[in-house]
Amino acid sequence: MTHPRVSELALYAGGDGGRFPRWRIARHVRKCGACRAEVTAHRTALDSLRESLSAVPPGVNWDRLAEEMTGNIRVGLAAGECVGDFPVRRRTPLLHWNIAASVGMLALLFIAAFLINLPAPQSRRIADTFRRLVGAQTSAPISSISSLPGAVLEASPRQIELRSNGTALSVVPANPSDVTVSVSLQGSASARVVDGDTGQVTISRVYYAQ
Amino acid sequence: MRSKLFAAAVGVLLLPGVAVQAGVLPRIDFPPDSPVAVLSSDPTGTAESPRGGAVMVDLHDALTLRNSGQRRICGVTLMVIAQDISAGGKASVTVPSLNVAPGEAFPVRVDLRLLRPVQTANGVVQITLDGILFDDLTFYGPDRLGSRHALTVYELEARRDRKYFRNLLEAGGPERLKREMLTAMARAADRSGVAVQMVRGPSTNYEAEHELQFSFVQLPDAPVEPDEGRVRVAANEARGPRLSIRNRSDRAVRSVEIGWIVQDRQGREFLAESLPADLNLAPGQRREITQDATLRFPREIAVAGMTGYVSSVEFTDGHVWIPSRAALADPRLEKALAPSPEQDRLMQIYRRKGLNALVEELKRF
Repeated sequence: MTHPRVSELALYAGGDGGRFPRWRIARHVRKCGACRAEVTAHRTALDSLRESLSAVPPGVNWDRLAEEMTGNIRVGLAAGECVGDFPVRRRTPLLHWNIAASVGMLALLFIAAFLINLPAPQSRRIADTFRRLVGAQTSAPISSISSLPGAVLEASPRQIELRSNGTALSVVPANPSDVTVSVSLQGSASARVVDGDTGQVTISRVYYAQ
Repeated sequence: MRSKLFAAAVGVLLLPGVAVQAGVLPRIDFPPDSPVAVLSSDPTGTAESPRGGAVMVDLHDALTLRNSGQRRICGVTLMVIAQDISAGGKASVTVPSLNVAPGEAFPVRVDLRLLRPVQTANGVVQITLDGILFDDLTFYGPDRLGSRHALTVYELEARRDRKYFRNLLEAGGPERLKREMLTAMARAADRSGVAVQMVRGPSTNYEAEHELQFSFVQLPDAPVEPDEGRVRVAANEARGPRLSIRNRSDRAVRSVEIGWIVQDRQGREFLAESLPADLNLAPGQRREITQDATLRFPREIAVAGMTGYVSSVEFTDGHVWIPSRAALADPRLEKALAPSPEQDRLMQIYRRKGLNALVEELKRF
């Protein structure tokens, strides 16, 4: 018969060890008197140890001990605040400010890039509008041309025409020799004809978008 | 019964719109309180035709309008909007030098050509009223195209020129009037029209450019004085004109229009453009006008000089100033300036109907 080791019997006596070792030792202990006596001795020693630990040592005042421990913890926290970042502060609000500042800087960058790349007349117009809004007198030169990017305005005795993106708007006089054409830098071309029969004057114009 | 059927059949055949595609017919839309009413609209000749990858719309509308107000009409401007077809472009038809009494009718012809890509959906062309000028120089209309100023200038020029020719008639009789008409017609025949293109922004012509100073025709009675002007010139192009203007009158000026005469290296002169600007110029104040535009003339015209003159001024109280006939007698202006619409009309009457018809016409106003 093979007996379990003493350490295994000690674990069994305390209710420790794995499920299978405990089943194997319990089976052995039922048959073996010597091992059963060993287990009983271990259990008796454990009971006496628990009994001795449950009693408060003489001369120890637990209430006083608890107050001292609380005091020591507070002193430790205060000392930690003096020498370092303790308790750890929440960093999230600081992070929010950083994001806001970054977005603001990016917005400024975009506005600056937009204004730098804006054609001069448009930027002057924006500046004039802003000055008018704040009630200041506009001092910039006046530019009154209207805009239709890519458009060409043409005036000739043959026709007046506005061309833009594959579309065209034109006036074609019946008799080019009797027409008077002109261009206005504000963005229009005109053709003037006099009706031979009625003498009525008709002035046709084509405009940039206004 | 048979005659009714025949009349209906003839009516259908004579309907002007039958041969015209309904999609291209203009929509006439006058305000309900308009002092002119549309008596008839004849779009005969309006048609669509394919042109390569595009569609060309020839738009014609012979309108008959009636003065339904209480005052005489001196001029009218109709606005034509073809938003979907012409990439935001607008057109207008102005008839100045009218003398239409209340209840009378008068014709206005709209003739436009629109070119649009095939893919573009059929856009509606709308004809609406932009403004009417009455004989007391009051104005009716939305004035989206600056018609009030233009019609007022035309009417003041018409009154000035009729007065000038009436004075000639009274002082020297029909012979004096005839001589003046013949001189004016000869001058008009000598004047050559020139094609010009205007594009906004910088030019694509990379020839070396130089700055050219404007010279000005000083008109002693003009309320504003242009004292300095520059333009950048490269071969047949003139770019970014800048003018400095001072208000020498005792009234605030709302807008100024500067006429612009171009001289080429052969000494020929062309009245090319006008440079209008909204200024809001207080008495004594000076301002600079600039335009971010490039003017391109035919290749054979090498720009060698620029002459400017004040062609009209509008004060903030609505009054308009135009140059007198005496001021326009300056040789530089006389040579290059086109006659006013009214003088054009009077010359046409003389050419077509003779001196007596012209004398009668001058007495009519």
